[in-house]
Amino acid sequence: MSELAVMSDLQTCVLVVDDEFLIAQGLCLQVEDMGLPVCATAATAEEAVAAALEHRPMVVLMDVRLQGELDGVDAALAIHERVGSKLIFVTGSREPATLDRIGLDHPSAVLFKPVSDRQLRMAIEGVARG
Amino acid sequence: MSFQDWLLNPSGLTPHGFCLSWAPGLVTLHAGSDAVIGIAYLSIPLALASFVNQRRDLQYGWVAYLFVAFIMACGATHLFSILTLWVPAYGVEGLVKAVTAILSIVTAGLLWPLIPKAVALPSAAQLSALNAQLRESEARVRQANLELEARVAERTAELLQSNLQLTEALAQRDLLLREVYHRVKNNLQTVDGLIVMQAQQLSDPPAKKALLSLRSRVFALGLVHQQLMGSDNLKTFDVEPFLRELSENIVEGGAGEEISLSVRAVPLKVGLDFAIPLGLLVTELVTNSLKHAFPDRRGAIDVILEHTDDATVALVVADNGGGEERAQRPVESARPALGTSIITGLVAQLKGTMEVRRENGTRSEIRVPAPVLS
Repeated sequence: MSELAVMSDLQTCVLVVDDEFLIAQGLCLQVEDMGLPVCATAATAEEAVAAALEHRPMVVLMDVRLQGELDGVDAALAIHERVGSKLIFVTGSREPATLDRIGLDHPSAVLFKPVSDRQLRMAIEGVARG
Repeated sequence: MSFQDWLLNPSGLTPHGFCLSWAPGLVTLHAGSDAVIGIAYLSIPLALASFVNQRRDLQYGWVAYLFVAFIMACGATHLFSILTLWVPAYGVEGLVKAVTAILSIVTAGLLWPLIPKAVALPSAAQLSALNAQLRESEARVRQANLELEARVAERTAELLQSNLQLTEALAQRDLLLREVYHRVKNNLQTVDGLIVMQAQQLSDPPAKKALLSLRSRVFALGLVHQQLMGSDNLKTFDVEPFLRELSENIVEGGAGEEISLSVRAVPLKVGLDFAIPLGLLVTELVTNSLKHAFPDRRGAIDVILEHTDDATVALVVADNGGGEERAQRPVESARPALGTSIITGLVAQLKGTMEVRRENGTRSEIRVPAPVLS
């Protein structure tokens, strides 16, 4: 993951956004198993944006359906604009409507739950390569 | 006596006026009456002929022409009666009468047999009654037609309406199914998270390994739902991308880069009932190969799905590693390994058979009836 370190002023860490605790925890462990630190987890769009502003993570794993008014796409758009992190969507849905909405953000990758270690590693490595 | 004399002036005969003693009153009466009758008898058949000529639809019109001829002949006899008042042309007059006699007897003879036929012809009144009936039923038909058209339009509108409702219901169903798949996948991700967390807690390597092998089984289930969600009908999907993603995930997730994988599958639409056992079988077999076949972490694995005949498909998972060494391992132990039980059970569930060959590696072939899609 040395490539990540050379990119801009962002920190070599991952922000995990999912409103389900167990899923967020599972994803954190998967990320940490890859040797990457997790800087924070968030359950709502507002929390996610705040955490991203605070930690300036290189990569954000973003669920689409979140608690609260705003969804993951809203959070992703804000983070992309204000922080510049790379966004990887992790969604349970393959609905065209969801995918269209994700497409608004020009995501770096879209993963479908359940996400295997390999899929996650390939997505993050892909992001690291730019 | 010449024929001409016989016709016009037979000798010794006097003109008819002589019989009337040339009494002016009588001569005038006979001549006048005969003239009027003769003219009338010429006029009547002309009128009759004109009528028949214009009404070409008349049945038995030829009888009218017989009347025409017969009446004209009668007229001629009257005109000749005038002539014979002064000229004793009794020969001509007789011939004219003879012609008249022939025409009248022919007409009379033909008329009787015609009467029943003429009576049978529908009268004008009958025809006009019939006509009225026709018009009435025509109106009824028109009315029925209008009613029918109205009903067709009504029914068409109803059909369109129910079509719309069906389309809506179908869209609703699709939405619901997608929601269900979404939830299933989310739950599987939760299960995956729980397993990862539990594995983190364990220090015993075999226990940890066992938990992590659960993850690949959960992943296989999730992948089936992911394929379903992405399919047009939400019920079936093509097996090839599924097998590829599944196998790649196991091989690349569980081993070094030195193991090559080849996936080949015939085009085959599969549904949930077939894909889940198939996916779990592939997971077990590929995992087995990874676990046992390559002590030096290099080799090749083939995953193949093909038709053996129209009704049967064969799943082949083959590797080119340490088959002989494996064959020497005790296969039967007191309790069969979990993977073995899963494979045996799922092959039975799919009503299939399995054959394992060990030469230049291990080749497992599972033959199952091809999925029947409803």
